[in-house]
Amino acid sequence: MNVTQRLAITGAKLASRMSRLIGKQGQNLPGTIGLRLSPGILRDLSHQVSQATVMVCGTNGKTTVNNLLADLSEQNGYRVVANRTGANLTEGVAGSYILASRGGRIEADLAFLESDEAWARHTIKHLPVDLMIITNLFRDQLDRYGEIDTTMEYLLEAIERKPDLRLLVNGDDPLCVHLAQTSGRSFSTFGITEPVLAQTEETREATFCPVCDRPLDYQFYHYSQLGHYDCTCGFHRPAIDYAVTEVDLSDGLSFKLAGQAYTIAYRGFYNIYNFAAVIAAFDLLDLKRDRLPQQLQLFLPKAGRNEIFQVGPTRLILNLAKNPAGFNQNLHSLLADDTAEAVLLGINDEAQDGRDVSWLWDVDFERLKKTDVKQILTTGARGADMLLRLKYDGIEGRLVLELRAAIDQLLQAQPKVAYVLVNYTLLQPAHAYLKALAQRSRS
Amino acid sequence: MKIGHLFPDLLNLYGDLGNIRTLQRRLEWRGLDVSVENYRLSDEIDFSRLDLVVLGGGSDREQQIVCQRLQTIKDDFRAYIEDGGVVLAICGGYQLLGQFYESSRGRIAGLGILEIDTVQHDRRLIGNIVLDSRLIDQPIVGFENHAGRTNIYRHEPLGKVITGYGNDESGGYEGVVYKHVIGTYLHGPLLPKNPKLADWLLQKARQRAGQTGELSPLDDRLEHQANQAMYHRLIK
Ligand SMILES: [Zn+2]
Repeated sequence: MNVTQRLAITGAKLASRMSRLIGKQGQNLPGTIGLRLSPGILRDLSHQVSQATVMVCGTNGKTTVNNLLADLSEQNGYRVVANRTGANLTEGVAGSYILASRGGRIEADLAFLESDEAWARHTIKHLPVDLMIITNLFRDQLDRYGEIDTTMEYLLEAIERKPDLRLLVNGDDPLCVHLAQTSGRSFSTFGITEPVLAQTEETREATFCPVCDRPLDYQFYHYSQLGHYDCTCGFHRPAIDYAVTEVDLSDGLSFKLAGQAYTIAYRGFYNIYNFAAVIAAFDLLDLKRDRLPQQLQLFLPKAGRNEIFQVGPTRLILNLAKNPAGFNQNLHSLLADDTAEAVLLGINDEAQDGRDVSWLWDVDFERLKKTDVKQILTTGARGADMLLRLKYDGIEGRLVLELRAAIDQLLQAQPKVAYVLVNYTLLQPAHAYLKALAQRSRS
Repeated sequence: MKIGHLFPDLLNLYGDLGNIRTLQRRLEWRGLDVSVENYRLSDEIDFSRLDLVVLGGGSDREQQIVCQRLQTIKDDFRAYIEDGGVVLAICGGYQLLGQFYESSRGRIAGLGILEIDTVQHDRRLIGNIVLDSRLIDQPIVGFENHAGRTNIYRHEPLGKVITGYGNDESGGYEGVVYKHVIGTYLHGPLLPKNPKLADWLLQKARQRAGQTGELSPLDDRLEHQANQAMYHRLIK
């Protein structure tokens, strides 16, 4: 570490403190400043991590997987560097290392880095990545990349830069498997090897074989394009290395993986994939894992991810719904909950949300008609679009433009259970307001 | 009325299903008869039985597959259009109607029904867009996302760009109107928030089928609310 690098780190940390003072929690600013002052800083710091570096990519679940890996590793005694806040461009990754460093040194055994799919090819140049996890490849982020093919090309480019990198992918996802096969690397898979949910029609994105473009056959499918697929050309779901079986969704999540039973307080079927990825990664990296089942049992969902608030007589469930796959999963949970009486759907269109909200038309809102929900409200910058979308599925609702006012209205009729489903930039404000309401109602 | 949705399993980007649903519901709400036929790649298409054809967009690869298929029924499709058949072609579907689509990978021949062509650039044109169109007395709002720059030469555009990029980012116009064909880059999807444009298509299809009289008015308050919300956000 030379003088420039030390100065870069000092400057970056100072910037971080200042940015926190002005109310912005973040790893981006120190990263930006650090990289500007010393471009080699990310390479230098990241190569000091002693045991392994993992990069997590994929449309949905990468923050969950990355944070689980980081938290569980720490619980098992490892020293960890991670970009937990989801700052997943090169600057965010650099910021995480800089903030974790002391006197220009990183004392860490493991690094877990969530990366934006398009930026992975840039960020990975600096990092000694040993394992890349790809959670799934859904149609999302359309207005940034144009199409999923481009995302796959970007990821391949990232993989090509690291000849020794191993891959762990979702074996139930034909796009992930095709990507892994195209890369020519050996890869491991996780998946759910039995039908779990009712086999309904839904938006399936890769219904076409990624190899020959013919329609894929499914023995069973889970959601979106995930399931047990094969094609006349020979492309098929490979043997699943980390196979989830005996899934039970009646109270939290419980399932078996490699003969071991797991019970976890999370909700949402899709989270099983996140846990399977984490358990598989622990195995592949040969980390201490005898206590994983007990540790996972005590795990609670992160803020705003299926988080429950009690406000007066109402139990509010807040969750993120940021793309068709995520939204359909949320509606599925709602359908399974016959106590649900009110729903608030919040849609913003900031850059992090995606400026284009066309995807709302790929969500199967008609399912709401099968629930006992009596009141549906919409909110956010695209609340009017959301309301119009509902109309075309024959569902009546009401627009309340401002989020807090919408939550107040939702509570007015004192529903027993209410769901608040919002996309990215509404999650934090919704969480803050619900937390305040819950506190006020307790005191 | 019979609506033909061409290859929705391949051309289904960006919630374009919303366009079909809008056309369908706006007829149903008026008590009019409607059916939607979804055509797969291998299906026979009899244009003489259709009143309205919707062609969406897909990824480059999917678009190429569709284009090869359409080449085999090009003459029928052209005859349908020349006879006043109604077509809504979005994004990739719009490009396909032209002479060619040129990218770094080479030049793909289009159907050549319209005297237009498209050249792909590296930078995608992405964002909300508002048009002023001669066809309807309401601004058209939507979302564009295209790498192609389309030259429509002497054809009539769908509208003048009030804000956004349009066909070729500098010409000031978006889309194309030819007889009863509308070609456009607008997603959003296009029709839900532009109900008058949906009715324009439906009315042309009805007239061609020999049905006289205007379409009865609908309660479009939510449609106008969504249209106006975006309009006022972009046009201060
Ligand atoms: Zn195949």
